[in-house]
Amino acid sequence: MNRRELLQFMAIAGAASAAPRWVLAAGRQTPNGKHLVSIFLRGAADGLTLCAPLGDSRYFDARPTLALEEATALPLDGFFGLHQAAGGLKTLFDDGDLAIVHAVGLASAQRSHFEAQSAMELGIDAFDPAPADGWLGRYLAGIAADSPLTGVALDKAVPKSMAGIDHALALGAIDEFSLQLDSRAQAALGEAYAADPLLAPTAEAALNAAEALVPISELPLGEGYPAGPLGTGLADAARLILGESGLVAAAINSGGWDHHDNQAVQIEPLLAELGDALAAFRADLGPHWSNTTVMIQTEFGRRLRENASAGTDHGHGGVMLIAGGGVNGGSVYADWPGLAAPDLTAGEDLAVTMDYRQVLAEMLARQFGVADLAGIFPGWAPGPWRGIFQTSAGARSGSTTYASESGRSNRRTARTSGPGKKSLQIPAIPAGLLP
Amino acid sequence: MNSSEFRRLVQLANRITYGANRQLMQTAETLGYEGFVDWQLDDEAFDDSELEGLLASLLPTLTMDTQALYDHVIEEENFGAPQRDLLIATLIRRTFSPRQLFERMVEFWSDHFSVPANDLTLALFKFTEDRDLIRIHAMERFETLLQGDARSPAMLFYLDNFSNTADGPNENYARELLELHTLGVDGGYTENDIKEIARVFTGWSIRLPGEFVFNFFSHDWASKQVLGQQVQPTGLDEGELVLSMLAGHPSTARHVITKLARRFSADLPDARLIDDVTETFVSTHGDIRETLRRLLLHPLVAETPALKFKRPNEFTGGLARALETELTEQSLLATFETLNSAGHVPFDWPAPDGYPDHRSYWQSTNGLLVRFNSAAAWTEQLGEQSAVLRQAAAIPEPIAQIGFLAETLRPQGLEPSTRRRMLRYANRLDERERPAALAAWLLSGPGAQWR
Repeated sequence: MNRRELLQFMAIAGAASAAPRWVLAAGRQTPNGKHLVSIFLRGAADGLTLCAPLGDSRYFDARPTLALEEATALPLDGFFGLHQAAGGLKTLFDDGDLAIVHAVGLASAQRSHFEAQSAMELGIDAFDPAPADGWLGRYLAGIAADSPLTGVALDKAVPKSMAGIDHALALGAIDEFSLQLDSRAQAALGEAYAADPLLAPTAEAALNAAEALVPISELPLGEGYPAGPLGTGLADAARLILGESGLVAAAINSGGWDHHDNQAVQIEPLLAELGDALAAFRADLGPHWSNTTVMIQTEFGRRLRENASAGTDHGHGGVMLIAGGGVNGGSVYADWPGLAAPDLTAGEDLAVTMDYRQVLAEMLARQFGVADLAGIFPGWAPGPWRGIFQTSAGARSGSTTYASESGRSNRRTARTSGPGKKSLQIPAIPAGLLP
Repeated sequence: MNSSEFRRLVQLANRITYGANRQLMQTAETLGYEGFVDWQLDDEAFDDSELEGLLASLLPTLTMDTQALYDHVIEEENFGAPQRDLLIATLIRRTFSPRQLFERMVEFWSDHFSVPANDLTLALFKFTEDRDLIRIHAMERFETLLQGDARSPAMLFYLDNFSNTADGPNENYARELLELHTLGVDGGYTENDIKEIARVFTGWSIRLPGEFVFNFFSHDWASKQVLGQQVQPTGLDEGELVLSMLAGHPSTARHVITKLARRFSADLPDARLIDDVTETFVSTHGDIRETLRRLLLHPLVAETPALKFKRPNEFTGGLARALETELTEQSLLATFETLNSAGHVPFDWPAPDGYPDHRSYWQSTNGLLVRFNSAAAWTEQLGEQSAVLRQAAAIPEPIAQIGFLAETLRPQGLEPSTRRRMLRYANRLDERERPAALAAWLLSGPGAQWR
């Protein structure tokens, strides 16, 4: 087989496998004017700092230097609290625009960053056979792409979660995504790429998107966004939504959450950045906020007991944060497993009592009207909805399959008595190698 | 030499160098496939004193010893120097060093033992790790690199082992050592192996200005159980023994060879290729030159069409080398800016797994847009610095000029349909803009993105 034959073969084989059966079965779904922003906190953000179980004294015992100080933590519901730097999150929570899910994650413990991220992005459990496409890619594949800006990664590359559709865009930053070629050069490159079946869809999408982004890039950037990938990513997501670009889903990455040492110092600015970025995003969106969901995930939680470097090693159960106009915010949703040794996974990690897909599935069904969840999470079926999301008008018919509505009564029931008096000590900067 | 043999040589050059150009292809034609491989494998026979001398005069940090470097960076507050100088030296060497396969292996190990140089401490330690470990042993034995990496302040600091003590083990290094550096995620280890190996490396730490130190008193002096084997508490030897065990483990051989085959042949390397090259790796006790030789001469590499989508640094290297662009501030800056926009600045990947090495990551709209813009800007703005474009501009006759550009920038040849498209485009261009525009079209077109 020569190269040309091989390319032709791959193109044919690729096209055949790229058409998921469920699209044919379920027909095209309409996005109902809804927008999803998927944020992945890379490195395994510590769930016990993101949303600290202040009502459990074992938390303070296990985290002598890292536990949030009860006096300065921002209380959520008498049991959980937020870091004092996360004021932006607290405001959203109090306004009913932020829901927190705890003790959530991959059902099977997977403590490798790369494997756990991959499983979550592909929409499978750890150790399941890997499909070629990601859960967002499968969602997007069911939606008529009438805009070149349907699925967008506000990053240099498309994340695995969006794999599986040809038209997913990696934009980097909108202001930098402009084509510096005259029309003759564009046309000539377009012709050249049309002859390469493996690269043609990407080249075509790049050329079309550059054109479609011209009016979006002329929109002013909103105010109040913090510097960093969360702020710039959400500011660009806001422009895509406000500019009515046809955006269905955007993906944003935030790195630097792997805190094996010196965690208190490292996590504080990230929590502030996250809260401030979401607050600026909500303010910017105005009426579009009600049609927008921001889904924030991380690959796993970190170990209950802190290590000697004032950091935490890899754990299991973690946290998801969901912001938007369609969430039943102001609540922490969890079947709280507790922190006593027998309740911990492998005797040391917060257990997972809710599969992360349960949250994604409820969002897709209730907010986005996805009827065929088996097409997005093959081989897995959700349990009764937890009431994390409101049922959007357009989505109602799609979600009738799941009649066993249990609503908010299924929320975390564990409430322990107040914790002993603990204080947050500033951790020693490990080994202070350099100024 | 017939044309299919010549195409095979161009492909080899594009795989084991940062890009074919006229001079390299002349050498390749003289040496033939196997001769070219052996020429590049014998990296110590190259005289690159001219380039290294130039770099040393340009970047005085390159020749400072650890103490002098520390003083220069910390005491004299040249905080940006290590990251900047390491980056500049790396970009220049990749484009201009005659030891091209060696530079590609430096890149390979920099991904394998990935340490980002994006803060002051990491940059300072990465700087000496690159110079004193990776660049010394890139073509020697795998175990030498592994043992050296475990003791390198860069890795000790990045994965926190410097603060791993008997009282409070830190598992970060132990986990990535098994998952990324040696056995691979399916290589047959347990969570308990990670914990036990973390205990083995307690006390492995750093002493200023940037040296390895074994802290006797923070080592865990109880015995450990690693991969079913008892490790007696002998101190520093325990770690060396475990690294040796891991270096010789069959899972490590398979893991490293799979990555090597992925880098030099295809995203999903043939299972038979991996079996064969793994056998060489095992029988030579991880000899990198012998392993590479087996891989590159293997029919499943030598006879396989170009199916690797170039990573951004292979694109920028190819651009600079094919155009025979001189080293100037502008050309260096253009390379850096392209890599920055594409997300492929050397030593800047934030996670310990190194930059991805598969098409599904790099083939993105952003990735192609950057290539379109970069080739256009490069040919328009750096034309005077390109020997190829200067020569093309001096050819008055359009057909001869087009032929020269095609032959020089795409030595593997153009398919007739591509040639027709090129002529159609050339017809729409005026004489003055034609050489740069056609060069950009060739270098950012689909044919130039595969190797």
